[in-house]
Amino acid sequence: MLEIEDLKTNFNTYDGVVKALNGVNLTIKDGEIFGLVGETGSGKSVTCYSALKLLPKTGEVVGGKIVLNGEDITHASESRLRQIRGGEIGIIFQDPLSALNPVMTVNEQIGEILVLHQDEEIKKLASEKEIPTYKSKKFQASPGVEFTILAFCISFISLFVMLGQFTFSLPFLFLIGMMFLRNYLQRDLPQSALDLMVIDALSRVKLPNPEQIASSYPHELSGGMQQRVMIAMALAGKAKMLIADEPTTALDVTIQAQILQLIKDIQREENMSVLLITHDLGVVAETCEKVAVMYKGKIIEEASVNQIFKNPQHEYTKALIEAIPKGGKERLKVPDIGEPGAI
Amino acid sequence: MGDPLAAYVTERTTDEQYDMLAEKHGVNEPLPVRYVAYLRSIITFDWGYSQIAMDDVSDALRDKFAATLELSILAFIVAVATAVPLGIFSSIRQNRWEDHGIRLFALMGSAIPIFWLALFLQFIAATYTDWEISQRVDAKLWYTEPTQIDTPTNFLLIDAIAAGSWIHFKDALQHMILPATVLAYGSMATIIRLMRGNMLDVLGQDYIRTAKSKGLTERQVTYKHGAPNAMIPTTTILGMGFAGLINGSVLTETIFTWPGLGSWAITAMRSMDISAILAYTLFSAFLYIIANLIVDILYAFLDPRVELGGHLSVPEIAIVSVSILMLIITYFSISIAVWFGTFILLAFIILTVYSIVSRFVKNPDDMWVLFLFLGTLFIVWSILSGYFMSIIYISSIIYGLYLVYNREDISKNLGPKLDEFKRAAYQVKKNPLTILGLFLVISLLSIALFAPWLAPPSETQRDPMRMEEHFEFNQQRNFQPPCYFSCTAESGEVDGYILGSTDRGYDIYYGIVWGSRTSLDVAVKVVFTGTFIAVAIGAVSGYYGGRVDDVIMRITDVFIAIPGLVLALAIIAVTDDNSIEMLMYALIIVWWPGFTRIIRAEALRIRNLPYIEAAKAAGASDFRIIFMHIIPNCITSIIVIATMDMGGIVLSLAALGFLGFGGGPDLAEWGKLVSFGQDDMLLGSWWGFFFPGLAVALWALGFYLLGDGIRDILDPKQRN
Repeated sequence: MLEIEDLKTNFNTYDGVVKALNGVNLTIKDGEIFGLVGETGSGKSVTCYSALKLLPKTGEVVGGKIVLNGEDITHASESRLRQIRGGEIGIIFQDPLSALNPVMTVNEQIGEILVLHQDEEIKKLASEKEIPTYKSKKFQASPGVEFTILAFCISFISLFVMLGQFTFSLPFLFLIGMMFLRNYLQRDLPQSALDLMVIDALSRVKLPNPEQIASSYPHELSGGMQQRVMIAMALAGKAKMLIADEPTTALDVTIQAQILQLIKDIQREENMSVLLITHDLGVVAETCEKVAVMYKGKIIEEASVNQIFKNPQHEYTKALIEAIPKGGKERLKVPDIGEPGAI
Repeated sequence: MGDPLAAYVTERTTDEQYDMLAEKHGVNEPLPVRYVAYLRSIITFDWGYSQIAMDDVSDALRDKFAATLELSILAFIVAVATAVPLGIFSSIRQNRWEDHGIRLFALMGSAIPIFWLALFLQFIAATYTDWEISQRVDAKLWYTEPTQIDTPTNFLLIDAIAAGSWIHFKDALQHMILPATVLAYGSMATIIRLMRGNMLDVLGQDYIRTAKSKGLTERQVTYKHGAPNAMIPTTTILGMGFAGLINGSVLTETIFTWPGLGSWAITAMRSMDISAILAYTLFSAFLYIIANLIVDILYAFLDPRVELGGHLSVPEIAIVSVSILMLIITYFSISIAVWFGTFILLAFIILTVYSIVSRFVKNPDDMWVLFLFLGTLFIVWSILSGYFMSIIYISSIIYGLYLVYNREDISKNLGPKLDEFKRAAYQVKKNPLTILGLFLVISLLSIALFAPWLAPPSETQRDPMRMEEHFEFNQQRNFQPPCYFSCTAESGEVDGYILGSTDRGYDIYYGIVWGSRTSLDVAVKVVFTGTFIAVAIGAVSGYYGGRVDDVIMRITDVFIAIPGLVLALAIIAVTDDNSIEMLMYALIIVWWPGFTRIIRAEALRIRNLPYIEAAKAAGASDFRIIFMHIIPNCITSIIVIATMDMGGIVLSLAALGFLGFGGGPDLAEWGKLVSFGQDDMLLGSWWGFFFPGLAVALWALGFYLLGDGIRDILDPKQRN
């Protein structure tokens, strides 16, 4: 599915060039859950951002090769990359609240990715069911806002009438008229094909009451719901691969388990590949089939989950496993072992 | 104090007539009675008679407001329509030449004095086109037969469209285009800078990365996800910006003789037309409140996280209901209202004093707040009376001794400091605009410092700050063109003026060089005084909150609701004191409330941060928290605002000077020179207004650029 060969990424900062990746090699096969573990700053996230060219302005891929389904996308054009992002690889991020746009409804945000990558499907659905393609009942401004505008307009109209300048109040009358007209025109528009697709995407991630969630804003949802919305969004474009960048770090423990279970279920149902980035070996043990350990911009060990826990080869991996907090044991610090390859 | 009846009095008014006037207008009544009578006249729409408009105030207000509103709306549309896209464009080209160009353009908009730009455009239009550059319309075309049309709305563009007359529309537009451009440019600058900053902030957010990971194009990400989020904080400025436009029209309207509120207010100030001044100030405050209201509603539209209503606190409800009760009583009986008002006011004062005193009784440790205010008062006094410099000298000597005694410790800690300094130097080098600002500021300060050598005063001058007239009565015009570097005749005699002279015979070069001292003096005193007051009051008010905070914020509200220039003018007009010191006091009074609010907001934000909780939990006293945590954390904003306002104050000073206030006519002051230049402009002298105005613009530009640069250096978020 995705092969990364000798990937090198640099960051140009004030203090000089920081080599974030020093030749990373990864192979993720079809339909497997692959874990990527390592400390903060070891280059886990940078690896996946480099693969999709989503690095910040200061970052730069300086060497290596990225192959997706046999196609070399290292020097792919920006338009090809856009097809891949969301269409072939979906990403979910750490903190769902800050990763969702606060001023757009869930419906708009998921609809966007559907229009980009599933346009054919939407049109097909629309012609099958004979419903509008995109246009639908716009989600109304809250009654409070409308009431305030009404009160505001009426007070202005009365002010101008009092001053004897009736003409000044015309724009406000027009505004009130528009408001009523809009409500009247939109009183019973059917749901569009796009809306149905959004609701379908939301029910795939087992969200209860998807219609209501579609019309809400991110801040109105709980943390677990937000992360489910993120997953629904990443999957909406029918991506065959999911990159999950520490998807459970910002969530509490019970929600964590649910989200991980959801990712596992979806992976099984759709036979997707998943690249799970985490610093939590517990999560890896529960979820993944294969795992790679990163340290200072290099992969130092790659094995199946069973092997890693039973028989870690590398000193650093051993230390990492030792450092997992266990009941009654004192927490150990992960040692600095110098440059990778030194041991 | 100025005579409140000045507008009614002529040279032929006898003493008896004067007494009758005083009787009629109730000038001899005691102050509370007069105040309540004024309140009553407001709510009964009896706003008095404006001597200069020769009309009832309410009628004049309606006519003139339409003129101002039409101009402001056009300017506002132009400003927003250009500034928002420019700000977005600038942010996506961050640190490239397009970005630097737009930032310079924006900063010039704030730095160029509005009156200078107006004069400049007027001069160009008068020289190269046949446009009408004064008044609102061609009166002959609009108001006389056979081309007369109805003006029911008094928005002349709309009226012309309603009448379907292209000639009228063209005429109205031609009159409007220059003043609208001038007005728009000033407010454009603020919007561009804010929009750019907000966009940069938003583009670094996580949801932008999400949007990119969906496969959206750069353009879609910027305009669909970035811009709407960046518009939310920009909206605050838009509302205030519109109110500001109406205030900015004071100068524009005066220059273009636009028959609107602004020019009316200025004429009223000059001739002490009290009812007009009161009506105008009240109306401005009303506009400010309306603008705030609109912003609140827009906010709820743009940001789904904001919900309208439901946040009226008990004191607010109490204040509003007492005010309404007061107005109702006023309507029925003035004398009861006087008693009622006095009672309420006394009760309020007693309550406030009681809450302060009881606080100090409960926590004797808080007494340091009193000492803080006393100390601030002492510093303010020392700045205004001129002892400040000696205090600075003494404290720098003490600090020098301290450094010498602790030289070993200091040399140990020097390493990181030097690193910081290198980093700052690197950032300055990366940003050409900061270098330009630094260059401008240093050159202008050296001009002020070396004034006696650059432009030596002649032997007959007693005070070098007072310019000398070179006036010859037998000549028709007394201004002379600039001769730049060839001012020495072959005989070796100095013949002419480097930058020309005004019609009164003032040497413009001399005026500019010595005027830099006036500017520096006023700017330093106002900024230092204001900063000390603002930091002391703002930090304490924001940190403690409660009733004292409420009172202070209501006081600042009153000051902020009235446009700064108008308030300063009103203070100068009612005190009838046209000295530069009075102008300085007026500027301080106008300037401190805005700064205080910024510091207070910062303090309020910081006091809710976890590390303040941690400091409290560790047992730190309030004194320590304010001085070690709150003030050091607002120091960036304090330095940036103070630097920028060194420019802003000089702009206000020049504007007031241009309107003829502050110091006598011969005081070396840039704004005043521009106003002399305006008189000479139509006679063909461009240098009269051009050079002094350029000095003001460069001064303001230099400090604005420097302030912007300092912000970039001190902001840790900018490092990468």
